[in-house]
Amino acid sequence: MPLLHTDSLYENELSRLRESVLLMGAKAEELVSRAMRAFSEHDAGAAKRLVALDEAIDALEVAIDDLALLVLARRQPVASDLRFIAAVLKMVTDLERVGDLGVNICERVAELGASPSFPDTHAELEQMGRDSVAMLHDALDAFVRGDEALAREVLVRDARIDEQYARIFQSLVARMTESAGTVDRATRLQSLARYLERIADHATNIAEMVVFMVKGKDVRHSQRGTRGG
Amino acid sequence: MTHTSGTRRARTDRLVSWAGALAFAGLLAPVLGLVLWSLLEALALGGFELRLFAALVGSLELCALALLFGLPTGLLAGLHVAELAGPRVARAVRMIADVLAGAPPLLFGVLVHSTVASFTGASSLLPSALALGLFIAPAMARATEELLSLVPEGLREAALGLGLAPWRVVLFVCLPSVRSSLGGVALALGARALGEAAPLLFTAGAVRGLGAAVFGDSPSLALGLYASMSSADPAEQGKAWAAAFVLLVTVVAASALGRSVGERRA
Amino acid sequence: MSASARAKVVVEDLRAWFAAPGRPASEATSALSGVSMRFAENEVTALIGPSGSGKSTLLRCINRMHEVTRGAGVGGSVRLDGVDVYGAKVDPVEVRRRIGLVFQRPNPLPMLSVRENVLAGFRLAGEPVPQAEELVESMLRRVALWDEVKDRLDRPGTSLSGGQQQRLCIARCLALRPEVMLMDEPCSALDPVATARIEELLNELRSKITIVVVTHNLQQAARVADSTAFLHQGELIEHEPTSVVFTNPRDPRTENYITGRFGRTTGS
Repeated sequence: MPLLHTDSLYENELSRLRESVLLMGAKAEELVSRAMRAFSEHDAGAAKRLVALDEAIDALEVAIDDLALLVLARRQPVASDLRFIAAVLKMVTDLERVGDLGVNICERVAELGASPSFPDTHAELEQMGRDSVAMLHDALDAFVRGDEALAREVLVRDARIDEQYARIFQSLVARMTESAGTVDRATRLQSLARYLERIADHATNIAEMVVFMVKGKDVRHSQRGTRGG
Repeated sequence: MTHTSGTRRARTDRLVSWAGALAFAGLLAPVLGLVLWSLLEALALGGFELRLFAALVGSLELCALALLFGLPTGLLAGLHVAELAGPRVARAVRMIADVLAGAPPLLFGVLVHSTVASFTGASSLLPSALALGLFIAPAMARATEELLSLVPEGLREAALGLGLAPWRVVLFVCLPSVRSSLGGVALALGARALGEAAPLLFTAGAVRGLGAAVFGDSPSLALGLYASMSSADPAEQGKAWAAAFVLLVTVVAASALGRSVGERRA
Repeated sequence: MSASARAKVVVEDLRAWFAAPGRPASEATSALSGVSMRFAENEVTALIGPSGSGKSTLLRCINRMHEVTRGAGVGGSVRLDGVDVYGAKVDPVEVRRRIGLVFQRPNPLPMLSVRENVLAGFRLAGEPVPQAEELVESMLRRVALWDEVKDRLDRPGTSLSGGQQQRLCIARCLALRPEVMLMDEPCSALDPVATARIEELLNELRSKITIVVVTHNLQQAARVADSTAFLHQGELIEHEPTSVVFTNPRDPRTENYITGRFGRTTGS
């Protein structure tokens, strides 16, 4: 958008919203990354340390909602501004869920402890974690830059996460059928994979909102068929 | 600081309002003085008599007839300039009206005397009224035009937007909205015509005083006043003073009436 | 504008200008430079745009009120049901009768009562009004004014409040049963309550009469209009369903205007 709003106070409110969403996204991204590092390092104490981060995310959600409602009430935004506010209101819900899922990951990591693991599944989960975080990162990047092409690229990447999830799920089912003693551990790993798959879904939602925000085009549900879960 | 400047302002205020009152009194005094003086002189010289009433009626007749000639002519001319004429015609008509309104009233008498009066006979009511009508018409035209130009554009557009023909808008919307002001103007012009003697000098026939023989062909207070005042006879002068008094009172009353009509609802 | 709706008024290559008195048309100030658009039958169309964009001029060209202003001229065509209202045989008085105009400032005729104001279009045209009382009541009911003024029908129309006066003017316009009603910022002199009343009225009239409303109040356009047209410097920039204009306008100039970015456009 080459032009700024003539009302600089309004412009200021919108950029504060944009920055808050960005901050919230960065925190959600950080939380998931650190949760996955705890998983790699069998760090059972991570959950406790990340609680503060999750609380910060929740507080940001409330603050952003308030500011967005204020702008709606005071400015009656239209066109690109309206789409921006609508996108923000939806995105914060997704980001808040991402934060919760990051905390869930830590809880599963604590339950897993340092008990014997399945090295190949572990590697695959770490890869899935990196891919999910990257999707989240790029979706937020697309939001900041209003980059529709990048957002569409994120949408495509969701299919790969779904494949990874299906593969991990299958291999864990196979292990459980081999030996009943692995059930406890395998179901926890399955949950972990599901959390990552969800995080990728939320990143997808954000990317969809970015396309809507930039182009005014609703791309939700247009590729539901290819999505797993 | 506010205190001192406040008292100074109050002092200036008082000064200005006193000056205004003084100026007003200065203007009012001659009029009142004249009314009083004429009344006293007339009483002293025994000017009032029954025939003065006939002269008053004659004056009023003349005035009414003059308005009959002058008002419609002026009104139509004003309407034309304000609503229909192109800018060039309007400018020309406006200029002529201004010249006529500013012309010495005597000229109208000369004009009528040298044209119409040669057909109707010199001394009659009709040419006199015509001369006075000519005197009234330009002022009426200018007043009509000015008043119509004051009609808010919104009113005109409201009526046009209702699908009314333009001539209906002028006649049934614009004119009625200024009718009370127009009525005031008409009465004020009537008062001026009442007091005007100059246009009648030629048309009212031989100029004689307000004495016994006069009323037949010179039914005007104003003209009679002029003639009688020129007489050396104190009795004639007394009648002149009485005529002046009646004339003044009538003119003031007519003007006041005109003013009140104009101000009502305006 | 839904694609199926019939066009009631079609404007084609409409040009309008103002010339100073006594100056040739070539030196005139242009107000509209070639506007073409369609107004769907029985829908509300809003005209928005900055001051001087030509939206009021466009409105006044449709019922031939533009030419009333001294020095004003028109080119191009405006067709009402396919007939050019600027045709040689067309009487502008007749056009204004079929296409009513409601002004920015409420303008009841000052010397007429409330009742006579409703009937003004007939009475001042010298036409008899059969069942005048019924017409007055039904029109005042239609603009939701009856209950407020039924005891004051003989009071001057100008004695009503601003909002009531404007509804009286709309009643006066509707009494003539126009096919199109043009409204030039009808609420700009009214408070929010009076504005809401007028908007509610527009909502009721929708689907019975074709309405074109000029407004500076974007939210009002968003609330009442089926389609919205954006004018800028005498040109039509875009005309789309209102939902599109206010969520996803096509042209960046529309976007900048409705979102409040009034700086220089980037020449697009």
